[in-house]
Amino acid sequence: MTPIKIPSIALDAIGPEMVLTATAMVLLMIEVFADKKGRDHLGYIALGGSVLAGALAYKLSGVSVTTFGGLYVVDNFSTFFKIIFMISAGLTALISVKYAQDEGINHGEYYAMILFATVGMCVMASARDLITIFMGVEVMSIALYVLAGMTRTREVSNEASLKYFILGAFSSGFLLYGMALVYGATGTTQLQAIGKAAGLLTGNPMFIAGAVMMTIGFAFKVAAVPFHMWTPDVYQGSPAPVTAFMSTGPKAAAFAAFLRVFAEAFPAMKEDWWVIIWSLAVLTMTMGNVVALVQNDVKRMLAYSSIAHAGYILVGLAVASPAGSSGAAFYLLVYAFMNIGAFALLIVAAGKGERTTTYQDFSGMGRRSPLTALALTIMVFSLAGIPPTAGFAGKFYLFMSALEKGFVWLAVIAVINSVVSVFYYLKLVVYMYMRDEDGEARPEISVAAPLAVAAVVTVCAVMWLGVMPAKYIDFAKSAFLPF
Amino acid sequence: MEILMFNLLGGLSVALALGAIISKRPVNSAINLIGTMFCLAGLFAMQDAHLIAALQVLVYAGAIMALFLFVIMLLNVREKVGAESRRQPYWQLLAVVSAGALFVPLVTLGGGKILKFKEAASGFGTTAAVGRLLYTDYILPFEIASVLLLAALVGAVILTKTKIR
Amino acid sequence: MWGLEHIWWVPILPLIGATINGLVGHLLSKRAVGVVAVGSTGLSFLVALAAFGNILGLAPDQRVYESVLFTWIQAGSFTAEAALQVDPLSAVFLMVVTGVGFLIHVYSVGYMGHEAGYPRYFAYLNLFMFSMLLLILGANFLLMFIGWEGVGLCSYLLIGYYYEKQSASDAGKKAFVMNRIGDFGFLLAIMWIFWTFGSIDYTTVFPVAHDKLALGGLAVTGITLLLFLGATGKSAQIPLYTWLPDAMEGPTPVSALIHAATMVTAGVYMVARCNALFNLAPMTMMIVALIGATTAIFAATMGLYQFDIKRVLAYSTVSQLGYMFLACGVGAYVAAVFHVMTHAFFKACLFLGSGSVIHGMSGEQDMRQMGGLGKKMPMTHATFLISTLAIAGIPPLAGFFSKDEILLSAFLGHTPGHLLYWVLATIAAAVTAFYMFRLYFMTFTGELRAEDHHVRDHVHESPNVMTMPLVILAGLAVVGGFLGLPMIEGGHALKNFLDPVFAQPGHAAGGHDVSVGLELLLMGVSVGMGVLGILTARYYYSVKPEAAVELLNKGGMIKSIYTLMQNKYYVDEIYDALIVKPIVAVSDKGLWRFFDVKVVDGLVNFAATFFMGLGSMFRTAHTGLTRSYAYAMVFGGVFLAGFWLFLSSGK
Repeated sequence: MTPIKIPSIALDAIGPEMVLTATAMVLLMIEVFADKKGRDHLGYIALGGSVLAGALAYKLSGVSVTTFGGLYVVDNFSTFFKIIFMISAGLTALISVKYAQDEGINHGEYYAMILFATVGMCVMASARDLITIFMGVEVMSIALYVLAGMTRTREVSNEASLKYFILGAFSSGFLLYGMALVYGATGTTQLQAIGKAAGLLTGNPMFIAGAVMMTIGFAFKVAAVPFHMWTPDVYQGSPAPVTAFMSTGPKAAAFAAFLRVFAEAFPAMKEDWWVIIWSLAVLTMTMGNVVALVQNDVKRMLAYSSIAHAGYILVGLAVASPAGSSGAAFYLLVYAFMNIGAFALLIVAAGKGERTTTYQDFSGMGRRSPLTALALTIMVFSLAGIPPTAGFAGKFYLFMSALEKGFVWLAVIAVINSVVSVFYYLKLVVYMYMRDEDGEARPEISVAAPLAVAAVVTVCAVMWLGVMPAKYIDFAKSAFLPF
Repeated sequence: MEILMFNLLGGLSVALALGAIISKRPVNSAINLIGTMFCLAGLFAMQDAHLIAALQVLVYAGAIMALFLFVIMLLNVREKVGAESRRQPYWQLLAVVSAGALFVPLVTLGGGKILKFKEAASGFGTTAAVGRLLYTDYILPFEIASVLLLAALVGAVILTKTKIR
Repeated sequence: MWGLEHIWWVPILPLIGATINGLVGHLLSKRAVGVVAVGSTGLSFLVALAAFGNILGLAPDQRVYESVLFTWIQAGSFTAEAALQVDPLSAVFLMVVTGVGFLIHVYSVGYMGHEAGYPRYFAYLNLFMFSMLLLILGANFLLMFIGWEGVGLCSYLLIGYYYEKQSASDAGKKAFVMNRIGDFGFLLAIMWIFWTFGSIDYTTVFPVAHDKLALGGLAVTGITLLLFLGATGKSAQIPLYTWLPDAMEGPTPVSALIHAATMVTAGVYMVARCNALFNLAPMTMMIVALIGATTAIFAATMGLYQFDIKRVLAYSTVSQLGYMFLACGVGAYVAAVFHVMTHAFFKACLFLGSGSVIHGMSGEQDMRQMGGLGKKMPMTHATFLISTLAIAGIPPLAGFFSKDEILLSAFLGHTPGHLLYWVLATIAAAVTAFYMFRLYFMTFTGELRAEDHHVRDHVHESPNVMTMPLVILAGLAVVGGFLGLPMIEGGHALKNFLDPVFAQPGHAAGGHDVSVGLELLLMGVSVGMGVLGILTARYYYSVKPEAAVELLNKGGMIKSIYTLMQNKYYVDEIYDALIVKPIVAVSDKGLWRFFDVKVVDGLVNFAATFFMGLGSMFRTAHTGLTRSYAYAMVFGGVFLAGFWLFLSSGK
């Protein structure tokens, strides 16, 4: 009997993950013992957990550790993404407080699921091994399926949850099968070892099939066309804070894993897959933007816009350069702020039960609630990429990375797309400022304190990242992957 | 002998899987699927992967398929299912075209090429080896699985419980 | 002492004003709002003045000051600094923008006094000042682009200021859409510039342009054409001009500031700024000149048919902008900048004057309801007359100097077809004089035609806060041209000041190596055309109004223009239409309307419809059935795999 050899384990490297898990379990316990009133604090506990985990993650910046026998790595890339996740989770908890009370989902489980999903996301960003990545994906996805169906009394929410679950399981099948094939072809699950072996395997159909399957799995998670079909229905049906969460954190996590797998395991096949990713990027942004044009519902419009944004971020992946990967990372940070901000304000405008989310419902908002309208305007301008908001800085940096590598057409198509996107974002502004109310009764707009805080934070972040992005871009630049 | 067994089990599992797709009655489909699982378990056993073979039978054929059958019987699903999709012939056309799109390059690329793999180390896939790996190299994913299970459990409860305080 | 190192205060001050008024303006009294807005702009003007003084104090070849505030974006080899640059070109624009901007802010205090949303108005206006100053002072293309977007946004917000009016919000949208088309070109040009030069700083790009780019090569032609596309959007040139007349839905001071004096000249600034690139692209120069000349004449003829006092001025602005681009196109950048400056003075004065008229007429904008206002509004009348004479090119007013220089440059130009441009521009000068004096006579002379008694009794001169800016602007319209002295023998004051910026003109830019006799002759022709226009207008609209009816039989130049426009119907019923027919009915039948609606809007609508249709098509793919979503995934995956395998098999 050979002695059992435990690989070296650096527990401080998984500090953020541990804090999140512990907080989630605390929340589950509080749910059992707290009365209805005590539960009002659940959201803040979740926020506190995210902030603490974020601080721990930030402390690890500059650190580069590989632990658990090479399965898990903490580098600036993972750290940067973990900070995005924590921002996304924390802000989601914040915008959920009022919403959860109104919709009767103010339970420890709700916040615990957000944190569980975040644990999965952290694993995805840090894993350097196919099995670990898959575990991360599943932890995140399971929690999201539940979150999507959280408002159980609303039919659309149930539908969203079920659809997401079925299609998500389907895509997990692709992902896992792909991993199995890659493992079969290379004999290892560790990314860097695959990368080494892959050099000899170009043209091996089994390996390629594995890579394709994995691409499909990730493309589903980031909602790239044609694997995006679930997105509009799920985003529209889910509770608004959950949609805000899903479109930022988990999407960033999927991109993190996507990027790492391609950078570390498949660099030898770059010649081939950039064409694939290029096509996916173009399809995704065009489809997302074009369909967003014809939507009448703002929440659904934001769903399609999130597809379009995934397309922009895929540009960073197609470029396959350090600048491309850090450009994608930076854009995801920016996107986390602006999209959650937009959803926070959507929650404000939609009122209880999310009854009023059509464009028509926003008419005259500039007059009814000037500050809300102003904040929402800033958010949509940022989404549209109009300077000097963060959206512009992010897009600019991302598209520049494409230009630098000679992807001129990709950059041009991306710019055309962002021009097209202005029309549907602008439509919202037009309704808010240039339409009078149509006389229909709408709920009084009242901004609950946590929502107001979230709105102020996101507005400040969007403006600050737009005007003074240098420091954060530098941070993102240190978070590159060696393509 | 090994080749014979492989061909037998492999052929049977493909046939049963086809049966699961073609069969119009859900119960028949499920039964066919169970058969497929058993054949797969046999294939695993042939590779000395006894743990996986056992798991295949226990988890898939035993637990999951049993659940399938329960659901089918409880809901009393009849054969009408699937009639709808047959009204959309363009799906089938698309299927043929895309299969061709996959098949042609596959043939040109892999045609006649024999894939060679390293032989697995002796003892690979046995219960002892899997257990050892789980508790050493793969301790982290193993622990994450506990988070996954917890999340799944809590999620299942919260989504299905009839009344929540 | 305030000097160039404080230049960043110039844009920041209006931004502070905008922030205060935007966030807490509704809590302040109207007076305080006005003080914040006017004060911040006024201070900004003073700082700019100090900076201008400093620039003048430097030796001519050292008149470039760059102030780096911080590194804005750094990504790989790409660096964009938040840096401001002052050189003679930006200094001239700086003075015009802050000076005219300040006066218009003062005027607005009076004009907008009765409006709701007073703080909002000033917040937008200050924000506009910030963006415009950023556009001018930015030391690289990206900052210029930000300012560019910013002014577009403010313009859009201010056009839609009276959003209760459907037409106003539609006009706002139209402006935004058209500007986006232009901005898109601009952005691509910036990318291309970065692609070629590895930098977007003026100080890095322009000096090496000559070495890096082949004369008339694809790169430089592409870059400059895209830049010019941006300019046509912002400066309302063919084919992206139609938003400007519609933009008159905004408050009048906004029309004066944004849609006449400053923002719309941003395109001219950009072309002048990039002269090093444009000089290398003869084909682009030709297109610039052609578009400029065509727009000048085209818009001028459109001005003939309008009855809305502001729309006349709007078409006149488009036409004058055409002159500026014509000047750029023939390489006479100094003349273009000169005209920007003088135009800012007299056009701002005209717009503010028209605002004063509208104010006095209780909001009436139709000239058919006006007449004889000269007696009741003496200050407005006097200043308006001076500015009208200036735009008509009558010496010694400002417009004469700058317009004459443009015409001369066109005449002497090296661009193919320059004589044609000269002819077009000269005819346009006569048309301009005609329709401007038509406006003048219809408004200020004769009898008041307003039917509403309330309006009739209410006509009054505007308060001092409104007339003082008019007087100052009119004064500038008188003396502003003297910067162009001495006219003959070349080398006037402004030219000497600006020359370092346009150091290597590809053509004989303003180099008046021509006989004095010819110069005087050309001058005489242009003045003569102006006088002809004035006299004709006087004849038809003041001396003998009924003569217009006889126009058909009488012939002459006006008739030929009308015939040219194939508008018999219009001439037949000119007076009928003056009184009864609303402008829409008339304009629907005009050629210009056809061009507007069918061609330009058609293209815009086509783009919109195309994308919308595409969107609807894709939307139907979303059946809502989970099954079909799964199918789509499988098919997508299969194609992906096939594609990938195909790529690999190619090796």
